Amino acid sequence: MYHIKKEFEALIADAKTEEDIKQIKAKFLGKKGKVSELFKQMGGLGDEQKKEFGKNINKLKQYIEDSLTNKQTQIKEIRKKESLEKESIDVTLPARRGFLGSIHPITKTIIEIEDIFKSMGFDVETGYEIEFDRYNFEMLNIPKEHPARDMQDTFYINDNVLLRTHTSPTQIRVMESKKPPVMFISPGKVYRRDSDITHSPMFHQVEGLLIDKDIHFSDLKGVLSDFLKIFFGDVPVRFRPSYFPFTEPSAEVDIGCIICGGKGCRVCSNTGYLEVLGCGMVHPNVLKNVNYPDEYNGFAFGLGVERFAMLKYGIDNIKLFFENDIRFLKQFS
Amino acid sequence: MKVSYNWLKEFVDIELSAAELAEKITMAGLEVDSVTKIDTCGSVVGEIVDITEKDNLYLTKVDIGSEVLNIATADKNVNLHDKFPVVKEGALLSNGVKISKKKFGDFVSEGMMLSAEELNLEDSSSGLLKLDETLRNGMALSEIDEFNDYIIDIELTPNRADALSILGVARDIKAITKKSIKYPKMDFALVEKNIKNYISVKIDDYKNCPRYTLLMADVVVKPSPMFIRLRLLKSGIRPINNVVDITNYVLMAMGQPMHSFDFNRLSGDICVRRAKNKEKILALDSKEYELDESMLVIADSKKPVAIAGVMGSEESSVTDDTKTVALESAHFNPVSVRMTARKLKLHSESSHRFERGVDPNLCLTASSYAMSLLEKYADAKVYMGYIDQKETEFKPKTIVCSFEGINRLLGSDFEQKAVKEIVEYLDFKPKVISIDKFKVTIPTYRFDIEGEADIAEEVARCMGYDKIAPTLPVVQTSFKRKKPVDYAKHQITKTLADMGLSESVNYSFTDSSKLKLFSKNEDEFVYLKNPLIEGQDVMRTTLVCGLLDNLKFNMSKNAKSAALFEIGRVFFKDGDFAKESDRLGAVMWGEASFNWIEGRRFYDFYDMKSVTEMLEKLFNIEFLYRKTERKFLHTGRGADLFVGGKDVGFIGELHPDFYDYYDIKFDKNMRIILCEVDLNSIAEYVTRVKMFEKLPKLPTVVRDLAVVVDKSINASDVKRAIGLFDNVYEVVLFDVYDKLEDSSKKSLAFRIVLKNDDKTFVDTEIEEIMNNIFNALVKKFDAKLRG
Repeated sequence: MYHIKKEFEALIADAKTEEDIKQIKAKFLGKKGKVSELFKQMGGLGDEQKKEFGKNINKLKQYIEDSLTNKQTQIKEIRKKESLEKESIDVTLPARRGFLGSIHPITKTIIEIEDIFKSMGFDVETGYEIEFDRYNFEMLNIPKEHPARDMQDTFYINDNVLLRTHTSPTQIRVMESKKPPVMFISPGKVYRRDSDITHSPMFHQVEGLLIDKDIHFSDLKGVLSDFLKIFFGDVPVRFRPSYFPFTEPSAEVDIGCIICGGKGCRVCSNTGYLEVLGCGMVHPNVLKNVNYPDEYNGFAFGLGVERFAMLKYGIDNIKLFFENDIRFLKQFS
Repeated sequence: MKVSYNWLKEFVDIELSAAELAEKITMAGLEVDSVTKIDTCGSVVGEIVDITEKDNLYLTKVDIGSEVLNIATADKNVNLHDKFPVVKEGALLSNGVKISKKKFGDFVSEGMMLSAEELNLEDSSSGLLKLDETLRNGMALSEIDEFNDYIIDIELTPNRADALSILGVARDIKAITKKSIKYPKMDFALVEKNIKNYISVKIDDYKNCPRYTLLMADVVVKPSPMFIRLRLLKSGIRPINNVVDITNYVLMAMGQPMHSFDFNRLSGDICVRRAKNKEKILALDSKEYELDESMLVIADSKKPVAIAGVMGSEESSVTDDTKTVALESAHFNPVSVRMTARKLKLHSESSHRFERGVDPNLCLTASSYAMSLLEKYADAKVYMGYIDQKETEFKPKTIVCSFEGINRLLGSDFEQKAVKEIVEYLDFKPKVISIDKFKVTIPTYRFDIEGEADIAEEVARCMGYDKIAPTLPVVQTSFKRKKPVDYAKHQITKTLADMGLSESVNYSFTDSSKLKLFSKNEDEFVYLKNPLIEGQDVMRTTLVCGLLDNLKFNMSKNAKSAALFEIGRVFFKDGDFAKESDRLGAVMWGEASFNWIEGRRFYDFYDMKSVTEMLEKLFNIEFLYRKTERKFLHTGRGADLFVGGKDVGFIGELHPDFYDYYDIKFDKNMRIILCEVDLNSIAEYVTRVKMFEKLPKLPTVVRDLAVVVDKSINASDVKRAIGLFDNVYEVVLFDVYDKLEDSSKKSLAFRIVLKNDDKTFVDTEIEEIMNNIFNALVKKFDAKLRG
């Protein structure tokens, strides 16, 4: 009986196909199989022995049956695996639906800026790109023949109509149509008659205005510092006195140079700082021009979208934004 | 404005290095662009001890203390015993030039004498930089104060006219570092001649010339001493002669523009008047200007001798032969000067200052300073008396401020004492008038200070903006409901990018000659009065021009395909003003796919149609596609888009004739497909919420139907006719076949999903419905069953 078991184990270990299994089954469990033969040998034994012998044969028979079933399952699994292997594909090949499109870095930047200010409770407004001189300058405390007009070289349509040189006219448009408090940003295109490596005759700004009772310069610092730290990461922010005719006090805002970390490099002209924003408390004359009551005041700010995008994505030439080279655009998918 | 660090130190004590000073004044509102140390390139003082002329070249021997060098120069103005900066062979100039030995026949030049240009003090010099004769030969230039200096370039904001001088900047340094101002000596002797016997002044227009002063002196014209020439060079002004240089020197030092006339070249008395129409003047820049009645001039009895506040005339100017000068120091109206300078396109140091505002009380102080310098450096004999024409005194204004008001605006907690001290150092003479109120008297040079907000800014900038701690406001505000277009713009952008298009951003102005090709109505064009370049002279009325430019640009970069879109404004004339509208434009061209799954396929009309269908889905609208009437589209492959009977855009292939305009070769496989939709026009038809439609209660049944119709029949009409039947739940056009025997026909195959809400269909009912559908198609489109 021991030999039969050994023989079976040797055979089943070598079995590779279902046909092998069938043959092994016939050889051991068939009518003339080795196990059946064993039963035949039982005839000459005593009752006790017969009982014992029979028990062992049945054990062997059970063992063989179980082993065969197991082996058969095993073989089936291997088969299945083999047939799947045969269907192998190159999983590194690119997808059917490529993500080939892209959002322009200017739009991407505007969306990001909008999202930050919206989360702070700012509304989003749109303005006109062709504006009256009155809205672009006079209502903003820049009368005709004011030297501040030199800061912005203007495209004119006629004597009173121009391409807006900044998004600030939207301040007036909104304040004329809405009672205080107001709290919004307004992104859009602006135009200046200027074109060189760092200037484009058209570029984008985001304007911001917050008017309510009892707004302080310190609030302006708080809101803009938070915004800049969200947009650029945790950078130092500093406020520097400056001049805009429509704000008083006015400030320019610098962030620690994100290229060199403040050590000084070509991008920050070795100052360690990058100028990114202009802002200030809305000039009393501007509030008077839109007939806002005396108890209201607030702050305004304006930023250049291209500058933010250039710093964020490390773009070194403003021309790239408007050439629309697909190789450039597709980097922003 | 460029200011010399050493010169500043003459007006105020400075304990900071040039770089520290720059940082300090930047943070107080005088933004420093750059600080540059003067690079003397290792040069030393050299004296010419011998000159030989040979072939327009001067072969000199130059004593530099330790040795005598042979140096050749082309400068004609070299004289024996003149001293110049000298570098030996091997020296490296700041412009990168390395000095080497040069041979001129037998003469070997062993070094070089330098001009201001080579020391980076001037853009282009006409001759060598002459040094004072008292300097020791061989002395390093870097040991001389005027060379051991920094040039601080300040980018002044237009409100700070008061800081357009050394004195002005020094005043700010004084206020922020709490020091005091040191004024230069301004005394001089007088001779027994009285100006009143020689000249008189009449002002016709006090509004534009509130004050005019004149002093006179006999002078000896010669070159200025080195320190004056160097200080002017450091300020960006070219030295001329001592008289002109000194007026410029005082302009830089104090901010008062002055003009010196050669008295003997004036005819009669001075009159400040408006120019006559077409009156001409030859200005100091040797150009002739034609004036008009809006402009103010200084005239003698015959003709204008200066454009007031802008520039003097050449004919009355000081020359080497001048013996007597009349020195003008006046005050002109900023608006008048600015208008004149802008009209004439003539800008000067003088007009720059008058436009921004010059202290009307500075005239005589400045001319006294000038006379004291002329006495010293032009042997001036100053006449007794002076002319001072004015109608009124120029009194400083006063402002009442509140300490609390200042702190509230700033969100700060500054003590009264600290605020008062700052205001005192600004020379605003504060006077406390109540517990919270104080009165300030604003010096007449501070044109920018008008109210409490301005005082608050002065306090904040002198304290430092960093002394105000950031806070966050609490605002109660209400939000407006937005137009659907405003909501949708970013969503369209994101969806189109997902669909494989790339977003472009183009200039809003374009080439009118190109725009005309794409426009029905040129009368609507908004032209720029002053375009930057010819090809950007008109505001776009379509996005197509820009997108085609982008396509062309990318073709030039060997792109094999392009699918671009833009969302932007277009502009139309509206009386004197303009109407603006937001548009979506798109262009497709070239390989739609070039990959291992689909192989190579080119963009066609139906790729673009996914853009218009996306809009239909997004806005819940339906476009009517009508055969196009736009001349730039392919007549058989283009459609005008209508919503609510209104033309809102188009979709289609560019007309083959139009490829020429863009210099693109027409390739029938690589067609250019365009699309444009006016977002504002469709906005009014948008229903934002599409209501839920109940799902069929009972199982639906699917049947296919293929019909043959004339090629001219629109598949969408057939589909719509099927959809009209009550039981039809969904119709899908799944095949179009147009290679039938009868080439005028095409076969359309539809999958029709039928529903019945009352009971389950029986076969006969389905058959009946399908028959009814087919019969309707026969009736309407002369359809036949596909055999």
